Amino acid sequence: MASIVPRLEPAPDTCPEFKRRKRRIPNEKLASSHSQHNQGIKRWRTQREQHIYSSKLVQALRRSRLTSTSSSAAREVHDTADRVLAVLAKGTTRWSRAVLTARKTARHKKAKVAANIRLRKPAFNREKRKKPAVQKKLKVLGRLVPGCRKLSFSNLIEETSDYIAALEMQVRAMTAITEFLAAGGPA
Amino acid sequence: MLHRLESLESCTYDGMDMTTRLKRKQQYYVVQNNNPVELCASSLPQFQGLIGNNLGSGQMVELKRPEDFLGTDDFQEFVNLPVAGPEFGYSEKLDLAPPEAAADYCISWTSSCQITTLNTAVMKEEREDMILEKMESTTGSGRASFNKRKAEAVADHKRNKGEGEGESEVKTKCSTEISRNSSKENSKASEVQKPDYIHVRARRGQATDSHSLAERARREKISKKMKCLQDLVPGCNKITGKAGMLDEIINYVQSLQRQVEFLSMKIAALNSSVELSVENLPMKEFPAYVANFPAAAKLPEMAGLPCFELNPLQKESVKCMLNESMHPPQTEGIASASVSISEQSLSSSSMTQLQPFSTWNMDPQGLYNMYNMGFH
Repeated sequence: MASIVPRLEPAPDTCPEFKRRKRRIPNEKLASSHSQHNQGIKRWRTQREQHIYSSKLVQALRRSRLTSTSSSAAREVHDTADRVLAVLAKGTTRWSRAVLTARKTARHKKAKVAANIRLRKPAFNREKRKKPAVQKKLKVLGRLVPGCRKLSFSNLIEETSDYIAALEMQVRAMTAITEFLAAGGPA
Repeated sequence: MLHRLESLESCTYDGMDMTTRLKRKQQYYVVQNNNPVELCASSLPQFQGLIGNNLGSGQMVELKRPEDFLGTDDFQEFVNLPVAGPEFGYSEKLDLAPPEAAADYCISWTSSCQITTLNTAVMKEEREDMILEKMESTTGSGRASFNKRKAEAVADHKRNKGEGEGESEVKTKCSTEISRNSSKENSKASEVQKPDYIHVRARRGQATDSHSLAERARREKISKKMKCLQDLVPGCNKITGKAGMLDEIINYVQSLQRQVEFLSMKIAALNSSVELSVENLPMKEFPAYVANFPAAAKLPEMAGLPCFELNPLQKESVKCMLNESMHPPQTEGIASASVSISEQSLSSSSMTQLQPFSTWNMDPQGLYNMYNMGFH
């Protein structure tokens, strides 16, 4: 028995083993994250999740009400809502982690960087531009979803789907809150 | 004896057919437990006899029954013999099939017997691989059919390595019967016990290069995720192609983000008023309330929403409110107005971008409402 096993693997020994080591780890991660991810998207559709979100948001809003300035109240509400949403994601997705770690100053830096790039070497860009329409759109999408600028196609799509589901839940919850507030609130 | 020989010939004919047909197509390996198996089992001794006879000069090899090899180390020997046959000019003497085919179906015949004795369900792919590797190593990689199988073997080999050594040992004892199958069993094959890898099968008429297999797996993964997105984004069912889909996705994400921002503004506006209503304003704080109101009025401007007409409206409503507050006994009129307003607010609270005007219109009325309630 022992003699047969080494016999079987003379030539292909190094090659597939090497491949195996290379491919094993990413595949394992894929398997685990894929199952987690599927369950992850559906959580945003449940009523329970929405209730949890809206209650947490109301609490956070009450807390921030005291410290809010009148000029940027909307932005603060927006930020609070995004942060609560990201907390609810429990750090499983990239965009949620990016939202939680983002600083307020980061917003103003974006415009300056974009302006500088255009001044540099337009001639070279024209030569190398093959108009990969899909690539452009991927970049745009990467900019839209927080923290997903330099992601591969498949990962970006994953993040986008989770982000869209979360956003939909956020819209539903905030609509409910506005209705609640508009109808009279806690009088 | 005669009838046995006849049965043997019929068996061999089937074997030939199978192997030649196999060569034309790209590989597809599935174990087949049918009648030919039993037929083989019965005719094998005769077949072995044939081989023994045809191996010719100086090749007095004692071919044992396959079952004998189950528990022993001699299996390798046994398998090697028929495989080595072609090299000895075996095919010329036997005249049953081209060399590779002979080797193939030798293997297949031996395997078919063992199928009955061993558990085939799980081991099929691995067995094929083991046999293919043996074939590879013994007969050399120069042959076209072996090359094709090698690719498959390499592709599947990763899977085998993951199974563990114990299983591989058992695999060596058995072999597979190579047979055709319809293309019903496509692409991703069964997940074996330890799902370490994504198992991919080459479809009929497709390249079996390991690179192309990996690429195909990647592409299918991507298309799966795109389908998932299609379910999320409304109105994407008709659109095919990545670019169109991505356009829709981008639009949808942008619209969702705009909605959220819009709603947050609304909540901010409502928030300030709710705060005040809870505290139960006395008359003295009225100027403070008014002071807050222009701040709320500024919000639509900041948002850049197309509701420029609102500002004069809001100012009017402020004046209205001032007037109304001066005359608290007129609550009845106010109450009726507020009822209609609240109805309007509830109906218009369905957030669409087409109705920013109406919703903003509701807002000052909502504030007005709350002030009223707070006042009581």
